[in-house]
Amino acid sequence: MLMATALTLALLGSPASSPAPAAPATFPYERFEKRLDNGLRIVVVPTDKSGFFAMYEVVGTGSRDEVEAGYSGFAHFFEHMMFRGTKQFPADKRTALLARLGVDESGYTTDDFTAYSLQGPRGALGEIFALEADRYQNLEYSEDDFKTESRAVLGEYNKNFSNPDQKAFESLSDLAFDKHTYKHTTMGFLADIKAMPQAFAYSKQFFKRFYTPDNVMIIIAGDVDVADVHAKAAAAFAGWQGTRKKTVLADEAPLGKERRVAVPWDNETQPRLHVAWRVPSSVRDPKQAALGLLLQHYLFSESSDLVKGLVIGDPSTDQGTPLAERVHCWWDFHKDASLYPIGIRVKEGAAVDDVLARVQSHLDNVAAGKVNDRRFADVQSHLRYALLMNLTSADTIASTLAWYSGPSMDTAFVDSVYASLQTLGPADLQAFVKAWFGATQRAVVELKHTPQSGSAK
Amino acid sequence: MMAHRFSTTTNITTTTGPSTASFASAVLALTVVVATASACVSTQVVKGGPDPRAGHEPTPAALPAKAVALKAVQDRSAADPLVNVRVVFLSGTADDPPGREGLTALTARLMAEATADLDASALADALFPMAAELSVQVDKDATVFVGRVHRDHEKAFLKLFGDVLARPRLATSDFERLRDEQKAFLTSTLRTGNDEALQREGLEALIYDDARLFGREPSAPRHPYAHTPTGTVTGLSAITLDDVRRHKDAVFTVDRAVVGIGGGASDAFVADVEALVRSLPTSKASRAPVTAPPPPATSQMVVVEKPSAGTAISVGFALPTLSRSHADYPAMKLAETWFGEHRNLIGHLFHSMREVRGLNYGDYAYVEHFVEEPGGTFERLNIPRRSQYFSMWIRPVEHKSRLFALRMTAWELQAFVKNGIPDDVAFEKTRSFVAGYWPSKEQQPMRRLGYAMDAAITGQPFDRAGLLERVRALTRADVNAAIARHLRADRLSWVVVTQDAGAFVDGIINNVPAPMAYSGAVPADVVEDDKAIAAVDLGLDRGTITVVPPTGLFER
Repeated sequence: MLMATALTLALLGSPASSPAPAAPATFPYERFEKRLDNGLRIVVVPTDKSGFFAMYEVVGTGSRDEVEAGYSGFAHFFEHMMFRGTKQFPADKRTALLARLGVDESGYTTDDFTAYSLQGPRGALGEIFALEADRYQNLEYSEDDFKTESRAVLGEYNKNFSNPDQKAFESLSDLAFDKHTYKHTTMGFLADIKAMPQAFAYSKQFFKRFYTPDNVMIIIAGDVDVADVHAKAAAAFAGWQGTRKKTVLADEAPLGKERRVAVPWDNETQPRLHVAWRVPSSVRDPKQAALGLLLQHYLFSESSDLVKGLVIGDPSTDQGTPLAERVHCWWDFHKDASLYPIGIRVKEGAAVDDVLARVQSHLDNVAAGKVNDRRFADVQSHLRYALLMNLTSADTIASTLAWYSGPSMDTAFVDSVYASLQTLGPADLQAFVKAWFGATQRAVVELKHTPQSGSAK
Repeated sequence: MMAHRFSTTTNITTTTGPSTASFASAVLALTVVVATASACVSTQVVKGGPDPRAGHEPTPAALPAKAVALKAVQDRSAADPLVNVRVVFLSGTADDPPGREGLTALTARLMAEATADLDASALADALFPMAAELSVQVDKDATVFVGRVHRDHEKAFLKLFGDVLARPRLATSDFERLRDEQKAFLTSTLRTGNDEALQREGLEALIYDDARLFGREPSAPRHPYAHTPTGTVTGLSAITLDDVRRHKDAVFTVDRAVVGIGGGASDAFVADVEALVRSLPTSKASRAPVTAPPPPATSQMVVVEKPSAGTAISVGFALPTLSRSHADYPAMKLAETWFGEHRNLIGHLFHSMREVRGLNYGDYAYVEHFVEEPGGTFERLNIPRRSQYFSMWIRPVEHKSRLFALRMTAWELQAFVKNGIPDDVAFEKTRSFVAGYWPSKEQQPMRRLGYAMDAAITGQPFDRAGLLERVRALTRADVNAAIARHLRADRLSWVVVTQDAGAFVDGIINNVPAPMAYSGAVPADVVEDDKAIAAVDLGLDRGTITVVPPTGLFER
């Protein structure tokens, strides 16, 4: 019986019989956006009949908004507090409800935005809207809970910082900016994290400033009905009031002179070279976002000549000896002028300056117009397919849209970026690199093993 | 965004979850996975893939017998624009010959690095425009070659994937480079660059081979699970390219293969992959037997002393009988979810240690080996090991709280073993949660395929429907009886990564009081529990605690 079923399906439902559709050149799902009177946006992305939904609540605040001295890391800390519940649904009741519904929740914070996710069976959506509307309007936690949670944040810092790349990146941000809040990472300065337990009053203020309906969009993807979701969301969130406080920050101009710092590291490890340049906002002009992506893959992905030369070595040239174990570009979209950071794990015995010179020479070549047309086209193709390869479930579809939309708080941003990707050419990449990636415009961190340096304390 | 080609060993977790994401992708990509199973070779199972819109339950069937029997699983859907393929070999680092630890991982990675036609650079170039994934996962009992591509490039990708399996280049320069990479992972990343990876790899090393970690010569032959999938420094140093060539033909063979194809793969793709795997050699080597290691006579602890920002604590023990084939498996998975579901707010440990006491970022427990999927919190698939272990993962705590955290870990385990899931409300809550959570893990076609392959490999239902159906039939008493059958709170193996180890060890041995210092007020029941925690006897003394520097770890 079972055999017959499968054979019939094989005959009737053979995938080979379906015409292969051409891959779309951007985010392929239709979005249905509704803006409530209070400014809250509800974005519905119907996908399949899987029986599941995924919801990403994107709040337009991140460590960028931490403008007051002493409060770095607060956006992230506040994300933790959002799981502490309300009077109606204190944390244990919230967890119990989500458990009954079979819903999994999480959250993350970046420089520019914070995202909360919930995913589970579609039948849970009604109760989820009620739960979430309550959380955004009536979040309530005691000072004791606040103090306890601040220790979990310190724990997060500590667990991250046995990794030397984390330390190097933190130092690089600090080095490369003077005033802008991108000077600190999203985790925040360690001293500020340690002082968090004293900032209870500030936390209330933070919530009031940035957790407002005009500063939030809710993306819901999956097996959902557009009208039904819009109606449920409107009913749940209509009474929410508030206006986001603006954060006024000035971009910092490109560096005029190289900055360099050596960072000691207690534990044995290979040397790290982290180098960054300041680049323009990728949000104000999506073309800049597209150029950032193009450069990231043209020069710093695994198949680029630079990375292959550093990691694999090329016996046919003077790049015969591998100098590095790993090269990674951390850049991503940002609201303001941000860093374009590259992290390199240098091979034991190789000279850090040789690695840096190699990186700069490849950038200089691009700036001089030596852009390989074939490689450029391959990058365009890669980016197009890489986007599609991410979209494999309600959760990955919603999370991808949230990631693209967060810095700009605009779900059409992904379309603008992908439209630019298709129209930009090698000359545009050349101009981008020429403008922003000079040797005098860089900040350089060299981390190396220095016994007894006390870096772990 | 990038295609992800290498993934070799060891739990290095990413930072999604309640966390900062700006650095999420920064985490190192070395991760080896996968594993084993029992009887496997000759049955033929083919699962037809109806459209997911139709409800999507793969259906078993049989193919006409061919000359070489092949275990194969399909989970296809015409609507899916992506093509997924997984070839699992029931060969893993337990197959590393003594003195050549790291050989299986190196062989698999070398195969995925370059083909007869394309050197490493050219293969990277070929995969790049497609944004295709061609990766390899290596664990102790199995190795998986994973491929994923948009159907626009199905044919071109098939050629590359096929050549990786059947016509790998195995070039000297790649061999040396990848071997250096594996050594550096051991000597740098694992020893000193990632305390969380170290605590968990250290725990496995202690459970399966205490002698070397204690700095002693072993009295019995080394357990096949003793070394990490990446190998040992001396083992890697001894490996030659000839070893790699021989090992490839000995372990990546048709009789050890399970083929899985999913997504929008065409019939031709299925036929070609199956023909390709059938063309591989047949193994002449039998698999090394794997049995559970005997429990230690008393609890034991290894303290790795190094400069560190926090103290990382792991504890566990081998499970002599529990496997995915065991009747208690569904009950134990439910128990795991209640006690310490990986990176989930529902877990009891997460609640009591992080939420109530703010000890650290998270605390979890596992009834089988667990490796987190990159970029998510679900488990990686196709790791059904022949020997499993129970573990608790206490993420780094502040040094000043380390003694308290250590005692609390033991106290929580004691309570779990004694009381199981403590009441019916908790039991129903947990069961209701997994009814939604487990199926959600199968939304992605690649994961669904992986689960279907695990089911085929173990011969037991491992999919959402099968496991949930068995959970629905359980009572709390059933689950608690299973916990009592499989778990214990004595004869534990502890691994702690910390600095100033002398004071830490003195604190344990002398039962130095170490009350938790809270910043604010805590409820009365927490105060009461803390008194009980302070009185916990860990059963450790100077003879059972060994302090080691990281320097010699994973050396041999």
